[in-house]
Amino acid sequence: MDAIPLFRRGNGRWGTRNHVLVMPLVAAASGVARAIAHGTGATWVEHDYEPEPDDLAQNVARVSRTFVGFATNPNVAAVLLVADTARHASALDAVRAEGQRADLVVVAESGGLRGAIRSGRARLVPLLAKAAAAARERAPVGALMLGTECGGSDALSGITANPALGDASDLLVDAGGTVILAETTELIGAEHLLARRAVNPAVADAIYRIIHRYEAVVRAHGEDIRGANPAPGNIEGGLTTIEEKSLGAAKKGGTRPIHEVIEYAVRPGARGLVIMDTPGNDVEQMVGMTAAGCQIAAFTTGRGTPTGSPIIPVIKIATNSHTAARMRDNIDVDAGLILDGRETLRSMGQRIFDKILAVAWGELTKAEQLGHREFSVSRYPFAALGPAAR
Amino acid sequence: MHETPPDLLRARRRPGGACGIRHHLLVIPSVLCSAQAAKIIAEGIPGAIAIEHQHGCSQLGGDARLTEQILTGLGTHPNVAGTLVVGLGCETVQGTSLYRAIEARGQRAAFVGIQQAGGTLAAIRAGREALARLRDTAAVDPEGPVAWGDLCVGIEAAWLSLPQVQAAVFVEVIRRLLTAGATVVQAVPQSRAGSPATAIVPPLLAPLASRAIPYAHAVAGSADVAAAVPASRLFLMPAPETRIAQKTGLAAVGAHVVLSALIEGLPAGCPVAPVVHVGVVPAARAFAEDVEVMLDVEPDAGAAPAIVRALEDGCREETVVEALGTFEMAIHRIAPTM
Repeated sequence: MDAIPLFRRGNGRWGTRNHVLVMPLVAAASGVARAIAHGTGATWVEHDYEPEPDDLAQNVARVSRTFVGFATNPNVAAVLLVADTARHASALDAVRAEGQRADLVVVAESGGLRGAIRSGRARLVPLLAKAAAAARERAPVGALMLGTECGGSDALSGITANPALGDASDLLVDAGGTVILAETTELIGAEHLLARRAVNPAVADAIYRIIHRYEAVVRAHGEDIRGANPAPGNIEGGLTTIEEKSLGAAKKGGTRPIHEVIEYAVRPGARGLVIMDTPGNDVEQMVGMTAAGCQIAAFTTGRGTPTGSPIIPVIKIATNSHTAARMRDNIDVDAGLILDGRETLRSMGQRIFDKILAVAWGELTKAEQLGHREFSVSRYPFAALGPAAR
Repeated sequence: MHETPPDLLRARRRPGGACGIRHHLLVIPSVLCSAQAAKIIAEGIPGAIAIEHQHGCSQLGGDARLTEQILTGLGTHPNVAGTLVVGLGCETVQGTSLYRAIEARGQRAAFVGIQQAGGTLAAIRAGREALARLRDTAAVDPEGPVAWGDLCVGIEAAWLSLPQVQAAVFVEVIRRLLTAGATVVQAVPQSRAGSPATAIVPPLLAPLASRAIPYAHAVAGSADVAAAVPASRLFLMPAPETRIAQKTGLAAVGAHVVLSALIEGLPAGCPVAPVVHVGVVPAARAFAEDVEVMLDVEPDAGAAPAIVRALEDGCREETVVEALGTFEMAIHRIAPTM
């Protein structure tokens, strides 16, 4: 298959879903955003980002591009931003500059909370109508940008689900698509293998740099990464070290050349396989990849992680049949069949690729059916390093 | 429980002796991954509130412990009659450990784990059954009159930066609350560079005897407070500058009710403690309908009694933000996510 039906956006990008999003720009607007979206068919997010007077410029920039990237993801047909004051509403211009249909409610200028909810409801109506008018059109498979992720990993992650997803990643890259490999803290120990596949020395250097930066920040906080990574559940699942976890995690991205290393929530400038510097935290990573433009994600899990996204479909791939059966409400694909000899890595890779296309076309994932829509804002993690962070 | 004021405050007496001016059933996800299940578990069960937070995974040691401490504080808040912890299974802030910490402080508690139960739907079923059991056992908490001496008021820091005449009203509110026997916890913002361990006494509060407590450290109901003379029941708590994280910290300390001076931003609620907003003129004029009481540029002698009355009303009945059914959550972090 070389074409699938997707939603074409005015700016030439393609979406796998057709959401209207209500997005608070500060934590205190989360309740208003929820009240505006409630019962309308629009999706919304809630978060806990509170701007601070002495916030680091790097943090402000990171949070801002996350909001703008999320609001302009091609799965979003239109967005209603909710700000507390006009001072925190500058995202509107940035969102519109990306060609996105957008409107804004400023609570302080809307007669208070109730007035803002009324005003937001009214502003949502034309945005919902705009989304309703969108239809799927033939799009090249290469229009897809896939986010890859693993969470609740176990000893089988690097043996079944991750290499099978790697095969699917290769298939998508070969079709002209883009694949993001991320979660830097879970690549620690695999950097030399990844750097060998960099398209040039600058990309190889960047791979080492982002790994070393995370290692340095853990040291700067005087902490041990163990406990955060591998997490208690990883250890219970048979993973003993971060290196062991990383060697498995890195396989999600497949085997193709690595074209670029991008910062968190930055849109890739190249097609093919790219690495994004994100925390290993599942939801922060997912939000970063979504803000970069991924319209779909594939998420492998050993222990069984239920999380989804407010705007992109997330395909759950179990590393073992026990979890797949036990958590069948949450799991879309059982890569444990490889262990039973009923599938090979290659056939499972093809099966995952087919699932990606079917879901891109409109098939709902388990996370979508259950209403999972987790969202979290990632803060700039390297403040403790000072100017050395670059 | 004997010094009942004429305009009676009422509360539920918890098995451990604390008083609750609300009768919440709290559903706490130990990690963001279980927040959706927590939300569905609470839906449709009267009195049940599910927290949504974005933490519990990939946190470094001290930071993870602080998150667990704050969630434990919310789960054992006196306004909470029972707490259900919803864990995932593989998270950093382990649901079972959080549950044990809450139960160890004498709270009615239950636990359900998503991976243990066999997925989101199975956890929701088990969670709803557990929550119904908590509700039934909590129904026995007797209701009766209480006085300020039984209650703790948390005060956000924003008023500390007001002009002298307006700030003086808050000093007078604190003085009146202390005189009435209340415990008062005042949040004092610590800049990023400041020491997180102790709060610096704001000059305005210097005339009142006060003691420092660590951030989000339980104070209400502790033997320390019970033994204190009323005049020294003012505690200063170092807190982040962000307002919602301040509210969360005050609630984790055990404040029954939170007093918030609205100077900038929006009114915001807290899941376990009612928030009484004072709209400070001129900044908060747009929010006259969303706050309990307004404070003029040049307040008269009635301003402080009006705020104390608003606090009493907030103890008795729904605040504006509670009536809107909305609250916000933010947890102070001391290290980046890994």
